[in-house]
Amino acid sequence: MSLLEVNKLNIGFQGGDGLMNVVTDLSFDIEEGKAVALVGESGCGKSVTALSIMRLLICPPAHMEAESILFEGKDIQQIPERHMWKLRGNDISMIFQEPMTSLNPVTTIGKQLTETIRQHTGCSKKEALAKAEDMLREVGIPEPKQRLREYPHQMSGGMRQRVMIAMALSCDPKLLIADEPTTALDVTIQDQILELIADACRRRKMALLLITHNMGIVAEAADEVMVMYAGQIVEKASVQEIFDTPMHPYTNGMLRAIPGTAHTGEEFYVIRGRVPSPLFFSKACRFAPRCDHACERCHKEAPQLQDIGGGHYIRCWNPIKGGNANE
Amino acid sequence: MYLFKKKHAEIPLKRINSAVDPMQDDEDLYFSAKVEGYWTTIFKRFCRHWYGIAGLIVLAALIFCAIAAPVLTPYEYDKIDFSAAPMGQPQPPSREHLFGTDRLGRDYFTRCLYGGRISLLIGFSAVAIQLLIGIPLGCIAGYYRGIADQLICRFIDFFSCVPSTFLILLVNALLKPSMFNVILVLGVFGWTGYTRFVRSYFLSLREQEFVQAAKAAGLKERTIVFKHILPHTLTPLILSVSMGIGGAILSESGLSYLGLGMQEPIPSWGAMIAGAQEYTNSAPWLSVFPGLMITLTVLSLCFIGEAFRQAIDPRAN
Repeated sequence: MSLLEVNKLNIGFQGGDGLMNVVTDLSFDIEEGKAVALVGESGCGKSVTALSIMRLLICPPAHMEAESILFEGKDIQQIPERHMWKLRGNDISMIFQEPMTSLNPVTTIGKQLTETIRQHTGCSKKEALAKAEDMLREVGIPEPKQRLREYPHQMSGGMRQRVMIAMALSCDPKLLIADEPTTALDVTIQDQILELIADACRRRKMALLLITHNMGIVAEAADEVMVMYAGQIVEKASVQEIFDTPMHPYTNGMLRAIPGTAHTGEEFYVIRGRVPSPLFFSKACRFAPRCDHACERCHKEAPQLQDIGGGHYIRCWNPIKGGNANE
Repeated sequence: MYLFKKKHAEIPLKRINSAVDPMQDDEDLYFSAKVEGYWTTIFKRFCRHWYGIAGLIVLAALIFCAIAAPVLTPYEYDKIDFSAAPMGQPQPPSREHLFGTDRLGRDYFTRCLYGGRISLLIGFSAVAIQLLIGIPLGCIAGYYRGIADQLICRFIDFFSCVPSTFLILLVNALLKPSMFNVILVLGVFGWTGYTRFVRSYFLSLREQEFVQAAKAAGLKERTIVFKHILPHTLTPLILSVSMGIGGAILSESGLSYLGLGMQEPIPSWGAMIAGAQEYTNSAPWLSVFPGLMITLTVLSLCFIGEAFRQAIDPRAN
């Protein structure tokens, strides 16, 4: 049994022009202790997927429907809202994109950490403070005792993200959802933070759902990769396969678009066009209008996600054979 | 030099003692320091602003005078003494009567002190009632939205359509004028501003990322509302509270002026100004002194509010 099993997740937003379907029939699962990356362009539905697993989507305007979202075999959708807190922060934790705004600016770091710890463990203030201090030390914050008494604005962005990680890890969750944890940080810090997250997951045997649009991060931290386009998973494989033999033209294009040093002087490769608005998703293959490989069938029929062997799934009628990402 | 050395010598000594059980002692130090720490910091930051201290001193003096009135003055507030006001003419300030006398020969200083009792009590209690009703309703409306928000907002709209002065007058006319009733009426009819205020802050704060992060951490809604969102509204709320207390004192003056507030012979600052109307030219001190009291109160409250606001805002330096 997988730790998390999402079956046919649909998410829409109620707009003036009716229901916009942002995520369509999304299914995936995460094994215990595995790091799974969810990759895709902005607006393809990565973050709403993460929020819907936590049941943090505000409905309405959002509208969420799934056959089942099983966490440890229990359907998250069936849990009444008043019991959800037992899951959030305790079994499933989340790290947000913006460390600048995800900490409460008017409360000390110590208070925010101990609050979470005490909520879930019911321990005394003293124990919670000791635990909070340990956590800060674990995420590499010097002088944790001092830091506990400081306010978020007294810390740098990287530090705050470390605090967020400490908070997320404080109750030993089984699954950590990291929603673009390094996007808001500067490049030198990005690497450290990523290392920290990956390391913590390995040590605690914690599963990780890493949401990002940065392929470098994927290569570094993930075991398995899901590539999302326009609300659908288009390719799913181990990290090795994705980088070595990307079969879906979109994945292939994305990898080719990474600027490298091998092709200096050449023009950048770009995937032409833009991500369509959810209102104009094609009935056939959603990527077909932008695809260099599209055949006639691509514009008529919607492909299904199918196994092509070895746990490699693609949603494509005309996949690229042999994988020519870095040729 | 010797003194200097000795001062420094004490610190390592303490450390050596704590080495017996460093963890334990450290923890104790930490906790004792923390409990004190927050309010000490606030107080220190408060003291950085001269106007805060000035306001605190003036307000403390006013409250002290109100409480200690019987000790501070040899007169009684309702003792009529025609010899002190010949021909029913109010007397100007003199050595016997610091603030002069009114037309009945009552010592005006004494009446100002006793008036402070009523006015300050009404100001503080009325605002306390307003906050007790206003803040929770604002939290509910702003955070939970939905039907509760609709109901509360329509109710506030209803209150704003009907001029509150008339409502207050109406209710107060039906009730027997007494201090308790004045407080009640001012409190019950004055909370809408705070509700609207708190609600508007909640509307924008509930969408902030730290609220979502707090939810993701599994905190209960009650904790999020009262510990995470409400403190944000505190800073601006303090200012409006300090103004509100002044406002309540002035409202009471208005009621008294119309004869629906405090009844003779009990003095309140507002009632005293009302009574001094006909003597504006011949005995201006009758309106100046209670007016000065009200001004001092409101001004010192504003000063305190501003200094406190700056002190509790962790981002202000």
